[in-house]
Amino acid sequence: MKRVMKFLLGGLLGASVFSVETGARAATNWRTGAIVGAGVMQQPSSQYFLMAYSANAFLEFAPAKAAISLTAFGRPRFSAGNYEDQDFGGLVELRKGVAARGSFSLGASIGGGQMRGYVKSKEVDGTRSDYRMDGVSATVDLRYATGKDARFSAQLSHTMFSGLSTALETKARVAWPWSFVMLGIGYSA
Amino acid sequence: MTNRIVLALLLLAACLPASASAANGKIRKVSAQYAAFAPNAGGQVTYGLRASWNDREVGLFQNHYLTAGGNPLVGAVYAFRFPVCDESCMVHMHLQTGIGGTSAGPLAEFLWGTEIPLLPLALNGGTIPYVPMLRVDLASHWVATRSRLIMWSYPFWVGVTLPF
Repeated sequence: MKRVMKFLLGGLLGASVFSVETGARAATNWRTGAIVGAGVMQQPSSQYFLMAYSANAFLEFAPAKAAISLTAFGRPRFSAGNYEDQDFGGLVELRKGVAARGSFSLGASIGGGQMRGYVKSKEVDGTRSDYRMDGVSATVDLRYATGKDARFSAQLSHTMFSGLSTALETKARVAWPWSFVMLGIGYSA
Repeated sequence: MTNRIVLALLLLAACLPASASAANGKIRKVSAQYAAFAPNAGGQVTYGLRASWNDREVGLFQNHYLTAGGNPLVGAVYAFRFPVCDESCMVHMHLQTGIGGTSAGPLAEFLWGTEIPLLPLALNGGTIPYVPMLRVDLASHWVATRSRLIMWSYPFWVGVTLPF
């Protein structure tokens, strides 16, 4: 997964540079862009809303209203008393615009990635417990685009990540869902 | 061998009116959902009954994992369906956004659905009337209770769809 994400990220960065150098304009064909956001997340088995942030880079093929996007999620380190924890995540998704009206568009994305994090107890010799979980993801986003060639955008998105179970857990219908609700702003060229 | 070829040809023939029907937007579907995964052994028993037409869907559901007033949560939803890969695709995928109500409070639904015809993959006929489809949803329900907003996930909500 890490190799795939590195390859895709490299491709996106390369495409961005190519886009800038050639002056390729997306309005007619394809474009690259980035969105940064902040919002809330929920961990599996938890009904707490926790603050989170996100960064997204995408390569969009305009005629098909389709895009490939890379999204990184993070939750700031929480530390209180002898306890500390933090979560991260990375997703690769394919997005398709499914509806549009004026400057607004609705998009649906599916993909996958990995969530990881740790829990640390400072009391017991700094014992730290890490987790990593691969899974599938789905996102719905409502995007508002403005400016020349609609380069500036604001976006409200909801992502659901479902950690894939082991074979034993699958038999027991066990899955680990994370939820994210993010408000972001972006720029594309 | 001959029987298999005849059967395959008959199924392919069945795809033709199906394609025309899908192109006219006349496909209707009913879905029955039984269980969803959950972060605990046994998952969550969630019965759902849904009917869709013209990119609209209405549904009733009951979740035995959640309770409201001591009884299993029940709810109804009216949703708008946005095809990601439409009825002509081998695997039909869609996004749904809906609103409704539950016994705990008002509901908003976000659902990413996949429907797979229970046919050999070689018979790429899309949505074929009267051929059952496996339905697998990822769904997120936002329920506004009296005291707080609950965001509840249904990872891999499994069911069967019958188009007609």
